[in-house]
Amino acid sequence: MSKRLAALVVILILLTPAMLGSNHTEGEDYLPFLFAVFAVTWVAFFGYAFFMTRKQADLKREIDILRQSIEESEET
Amino acid sequence: MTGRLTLLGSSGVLMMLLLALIFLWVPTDIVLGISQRIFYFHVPMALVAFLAFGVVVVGSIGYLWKKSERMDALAYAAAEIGVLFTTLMLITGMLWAKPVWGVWWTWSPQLTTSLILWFIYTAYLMIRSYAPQGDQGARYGAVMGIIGFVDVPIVYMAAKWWRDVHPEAVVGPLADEGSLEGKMVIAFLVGLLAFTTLFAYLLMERYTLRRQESLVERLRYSHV
Repeated sequence: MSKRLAALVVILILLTPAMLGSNHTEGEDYLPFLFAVFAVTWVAFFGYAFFMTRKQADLKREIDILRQSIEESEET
Repeated sequence: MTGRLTLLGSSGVLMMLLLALIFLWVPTDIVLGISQRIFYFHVPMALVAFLAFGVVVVGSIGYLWKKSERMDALAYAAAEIGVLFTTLMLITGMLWAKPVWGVWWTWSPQLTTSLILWFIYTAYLMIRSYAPQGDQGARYGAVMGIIGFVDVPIVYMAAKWWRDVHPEAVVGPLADEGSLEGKMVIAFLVGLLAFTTLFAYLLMERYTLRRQESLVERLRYSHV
């Protein structure tokens, strides 16, 4: 839960300059598209980082199972 | 580990700088208006995707030549990250196309060849998942990774070769001199550096993970 919250905070921080900058630009109809570009990009990169973290955890679990199984087979 | 953290930190700092430049410093384009600011994400991501597929070629040639598992892991990691960057290039391109052209997608040469590039390397990842483990799957992937790269120069040249609604290249060897204003060039270069460092960081992480996956796979089969 705290990780999700941290991710949300980071996303909001990254979008802050965009929100501030909106006062200085014309063509505000296009702003949602601009926000969408940044949101999609950050969600994708954080999603990929999350995917790698999960994969790392799965590998660690599998290594533990393999180690245990090897130890058991050596004992018998 | 320190090298990776340095890369991640540099990438974060450069991203913040890029956002500040995009929204507080670069001038607004007279023709495209605020939507032109998508350029600073869209084009660097496209170029980094090309770089990633270049790394796939290097890794694939290395694998076919030396049968090095390290090179195979490098090619796989680069392909996965290249597909991520290409996906983002396509999505950000669509988000730019809608306000400028009035449509989300059009079958123009540059867009179509970009989509083909995405299909080629997605197919590469599927081959690696479904082909037999070990040498055979790696060999299929290496051949596909090398042949698939043929599409990269085609994507870059498409707007020059065929009549296209997509603008011609404003950076790189095909760009006309002065096609970008000075401040825009600086912001673009910062963007390119930010995404390149992010790519380098992700590549190192994914490469290590891929090596660990191969090791576990080998252990599993040797134990069974």
